[in-house]
Amino acid sequence: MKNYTPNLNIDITFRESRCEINLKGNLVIETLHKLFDFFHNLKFSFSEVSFDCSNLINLDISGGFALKKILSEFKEKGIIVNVKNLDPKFMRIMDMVETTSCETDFFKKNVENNILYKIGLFVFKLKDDVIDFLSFLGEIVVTFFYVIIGKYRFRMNEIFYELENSGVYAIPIVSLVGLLSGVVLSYQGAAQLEKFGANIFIVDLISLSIAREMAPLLTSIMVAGRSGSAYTARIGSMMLNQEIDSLRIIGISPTELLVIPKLIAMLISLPLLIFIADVVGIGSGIYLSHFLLNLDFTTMLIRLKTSLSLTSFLIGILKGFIFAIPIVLISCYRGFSVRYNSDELGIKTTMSVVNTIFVVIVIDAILSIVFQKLGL
Amino acid sequence: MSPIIEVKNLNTVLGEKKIHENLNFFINAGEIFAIIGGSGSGKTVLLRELLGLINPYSGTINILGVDAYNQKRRFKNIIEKDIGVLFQSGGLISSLNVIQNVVMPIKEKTSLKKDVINELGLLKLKMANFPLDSIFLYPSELSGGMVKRAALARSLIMDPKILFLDEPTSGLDPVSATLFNDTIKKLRDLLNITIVMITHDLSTINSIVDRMIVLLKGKIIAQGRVDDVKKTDHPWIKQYFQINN
Repeated sequence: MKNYTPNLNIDITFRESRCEINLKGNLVIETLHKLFDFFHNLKFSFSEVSFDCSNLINLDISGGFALKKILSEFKEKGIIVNVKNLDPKFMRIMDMVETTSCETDFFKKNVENNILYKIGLFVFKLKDDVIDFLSFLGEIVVTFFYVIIGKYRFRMNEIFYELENSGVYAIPIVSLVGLLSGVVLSYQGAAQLEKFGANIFIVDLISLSIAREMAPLLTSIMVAGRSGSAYTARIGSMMLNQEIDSLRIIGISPTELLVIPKLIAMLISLPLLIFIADVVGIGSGIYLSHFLLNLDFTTMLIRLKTSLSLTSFLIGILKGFIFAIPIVLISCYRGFSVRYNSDELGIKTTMSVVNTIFVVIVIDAILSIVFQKLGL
Repeated sequence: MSPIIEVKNLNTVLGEKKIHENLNFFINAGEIFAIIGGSGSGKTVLLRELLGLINPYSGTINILGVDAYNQKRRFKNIIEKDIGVLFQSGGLISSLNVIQNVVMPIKEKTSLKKDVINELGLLKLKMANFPLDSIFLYPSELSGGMVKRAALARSLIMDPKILFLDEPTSGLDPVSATLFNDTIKKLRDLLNITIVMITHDLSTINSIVDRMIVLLKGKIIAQGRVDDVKKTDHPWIKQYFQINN
């Protein structure tokens, strides 16, 4: 059998008011546009048309449909149509098309494109979202309580698995981010402080800004992007595969199995990651300052001891505990809200990352004000 | 009749596991051909090989005169143009509704007008017995049977010469399954489409299938006309036809 590219030739001859059309070749889906183009450009100045199909080699269902459509268009215009020499095999196809074709008034504009409708839909979705999140939060609190009083198992294995995945494996990227923030601060700070001759204060600048702000914020954002999206995608695909449903039927609470271990693991790993970012960031900043400002290490380390109080350091670590909660809760909530299809999985994962990072920054801003008012 | 699909000495290895061992069979044009076999006997892998989605370890696959291995580009062309596939779980794109799913291939490959495309889509959906009031639903909102019918409509949209069906009647109630079988038979009779199906449904095998092969543990244990296969003296085949009867 040869691999051909189908071809269609249409010959047309006029005899007074009659018109003869000779179809040659294959009237199949690949050649349909030729047929439609041909009749679209045709001027109707005849009262009778006859189709000669003796040279038609191949006709498929789409071809039959097209032929029928053209014929009925002629009939509507009051033109007499007759079809000659149609192969019985093709006749059957035409009959089938005749019996199965239907009205096409389905394709009408929907009201869904209305802007007011869209705004309304958004508001209602937002309302549902808030209510759903609150009920999810309630479920988590209740489950957590049950875990503490020992009604549910304390899942050591899952916790260690999550610790490894969202903690240990995040160390390289978090250290790198810490290192780079140290580099940025020392370069920016050195240029300014040198003007005042306040070289030694580079230590205060680096240590306080990294320990209190940079390390917690950047680490949390990295973890939210890294682990948060993974949580959403994992739980979301479990939702799509009916795994969550089957867990419920077996009698395992999905929140207890999937959320609580992640929450506990994140509460442990995020403060530790922030500590690592602190060490690497301050270390790299001080190391660079040595070259940029010609300060010697002993002086800087003594300065570090007085500038970086325990409170400042602990505030940074405390932020880790606080940020861990919204990161896990929002990303898991988004995962559980995946319904229907993989499209939604993508949307919800994006939303999860955007929401967690946004919430982390908002909480950070609030905490800054609170600590300022408390005089810490 | 000449064979439209020919498989010779096919061996498949996936990872460390040997999936097929020396498969030889052919499929004639205009035939309804069934591949049956136990779970894990490599039926779906065979289908994926026939579609060029995975490569065999050795042996040749020849569809419409084109070798799957040596003429890769032409084979891909043939797959796209002349072959329709109904995957086991439908394979409908979840972000498109039914009618968009069905007309997607023509939309991509022809320059027809939008209303003609939509009408062709409706025609095929009607041929596949899809209820036309549900054409704007998304795949996630469809029942199992409707997914199968929509997927059948999509596989028919380019008027293929060969139709591959992976467990087309699984998950359908007997009435719908019979209707589905009738549709497939009608298509074959009318258009002379070659139909290759993986199936477990004995009513399908008894009512519409012409020839079949039986795969067990990666080997063909019987092939030929349905009645001949039934007579084969093999415990698995005997059990298969007995239990289902």
